[in-house]
Amino acid sequence: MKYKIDIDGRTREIELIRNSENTRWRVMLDGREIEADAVRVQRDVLSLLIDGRSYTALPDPRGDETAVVLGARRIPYTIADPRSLRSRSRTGAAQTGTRLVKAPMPGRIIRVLVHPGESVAAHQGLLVMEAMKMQNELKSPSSGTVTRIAVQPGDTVQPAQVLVTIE
Amino acid sequence: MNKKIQKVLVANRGEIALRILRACRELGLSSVAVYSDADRASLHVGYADEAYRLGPSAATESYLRTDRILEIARQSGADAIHPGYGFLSENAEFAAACEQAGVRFIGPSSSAMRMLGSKTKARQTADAADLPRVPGSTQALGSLAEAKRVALDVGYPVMLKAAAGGGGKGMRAVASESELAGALENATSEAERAFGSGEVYIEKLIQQPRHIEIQLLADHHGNCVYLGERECSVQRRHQKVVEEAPSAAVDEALRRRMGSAAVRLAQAAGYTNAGTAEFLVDAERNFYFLEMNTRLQVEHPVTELVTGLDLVHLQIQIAQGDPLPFTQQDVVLRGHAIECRIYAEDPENGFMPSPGKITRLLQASGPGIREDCGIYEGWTVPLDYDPILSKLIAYAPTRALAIERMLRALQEYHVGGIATNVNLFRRILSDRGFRSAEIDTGYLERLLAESSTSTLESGAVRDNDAENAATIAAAIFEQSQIAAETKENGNAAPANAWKATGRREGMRL
Repeated sequence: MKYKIDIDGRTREIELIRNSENTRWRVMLDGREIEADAVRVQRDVLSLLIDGRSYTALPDPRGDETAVVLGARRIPYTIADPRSLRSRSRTGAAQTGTRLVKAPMPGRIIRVLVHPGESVAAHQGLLVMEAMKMQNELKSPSSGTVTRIAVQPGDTVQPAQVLVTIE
Repeated sequence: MNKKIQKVLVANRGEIALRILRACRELGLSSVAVYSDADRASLHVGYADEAYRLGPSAATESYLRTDRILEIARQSGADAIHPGYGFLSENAEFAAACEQAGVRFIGPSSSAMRMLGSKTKARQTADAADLPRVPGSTQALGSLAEAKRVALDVGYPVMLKAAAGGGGKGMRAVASESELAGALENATSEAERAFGSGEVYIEKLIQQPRHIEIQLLADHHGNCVYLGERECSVQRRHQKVVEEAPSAAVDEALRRRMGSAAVRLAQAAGYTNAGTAEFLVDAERNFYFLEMNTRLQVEHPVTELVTGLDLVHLQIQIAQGDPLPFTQQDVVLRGHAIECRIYAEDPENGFMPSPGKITRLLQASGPGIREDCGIYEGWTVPLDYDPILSKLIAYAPTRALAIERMLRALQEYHVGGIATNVNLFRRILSDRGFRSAEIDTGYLERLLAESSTSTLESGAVRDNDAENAATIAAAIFEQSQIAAETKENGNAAPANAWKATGRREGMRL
């Protein structure tokens, strides 16, 4: 996969090529080849070894901004490649197909905000779920029509359980 | 007074509530937490043996409800109340209400609080105890004419201060008489709003002072000791940001002079329990009494680390009538401690509070690191209160080592999902002025004005290897996120992708 990344005041071209070994990556960065060893060590935390130097990186999104934290620094970046997900969602290109809204964590459904057959906009609230003693609104990943609501208020749900289907 | 305390109600929230609850557990005491609706899922509620709802989220309907707190104390059988800091901690009426209800208030008596709690009263008490203090009025200003007369008397520049004040509210620096009328009006209305009292007094403005305070402990048997000083000169808008003990500006002789002055003040007021006398210290090492804080301070851990004492334990023991278990001669300062107050606020964005959900929390540990913390991963920082998240405290044999240790800990520390002031501490602790202890109460504002964009970023030498690593990490995050979503449902793209469990699970490399 090739990316253009705006990071630290520069635009970098990067291609990740997976090596045969599980954690090794061959990376083409601005035409230069770099060997990188990458392992996820904790949730979200990436250990990177490049030429013997060890880095710990983790994603640190805040609102719409994406950033990577590397050591003591937080470095915002944007993916400039047109094929990348983020720029696609930013341009708001229509997405087709069936979308499943799943429970992100164990919890309880408090309210259902939509009806089957209702058309919804992207980011519109679909239902309110209580998790970790807090209520959160689960939002629609895209615009579309609600075809199925699999839960009702009071239901307890498990992670990854399908709650709402949107076409 | 000799009956031992059995059950303590902690009338506070956040890190300080947890700090006190931990002490209760260590002392084998039962504990009662109280909470507002915003805090049902907060750490202190789950930590206490019992917990009761106070009311809605607004502090005035919960943590400031004297009646509710006393009712809960009665119903739960709590025989003591620890007020923490903020909220009701310096409210003499609350202390008096506890006394009347027969519940021990873990703090000074209401009468001592009245003598020292209001800043004008404290200045009168200080005069009686012969403490050096900043020249100015000991009475609230009655009129603009009176303000003009006092200001002229002490000489400009002067400072207007709210008598009931704290936290920098109701304070105005006035450079000349032409600014006085406007500043007086602002300070009065701000004080009125913040403290319910518009009383304002005048002090001479000491140029580039250090803020140095003395920790006191006094029991009910006439013993009063000082536990050295804390330097709290690193402030922004009169709010402390970094505190340390001991102060680089205080030698043993000055410590003894300031300490005995603070003890004199406490004894003049019949003060008991923990308290802090705040002083300004000028370039010639003259010290001036500022005010007395009649409670446990946010920054008490730095004193605990350099003295080896537990102030909350001692507060409870004093409150149940025990004599202090040591004398002034036993108090020895050892090593150096620094505290950083980690706040949910964005220094790059005008220090705007940044409440919200903590999506990731990596905490610091290892030698010499203490964290007094009230947060956890997945917790949402409420809008309703002071946005303090945590206090990171480093302890080492020397100041230089404590600074390096704190920088190391800050590198380990990560709060995801909300903005925090962690980077500001990196900047302060790396700054030459701070490292050589050339600090005064204007230091931080000057540092922030130096360059509004972070010098940490622009001043740093470009590290090409690190930039490459960051770019590779960003690409890997992006790729694993796409992989996860492709695997999940063909071509889906959740709006807030990194927060989705599915994608995290997909980040297998």
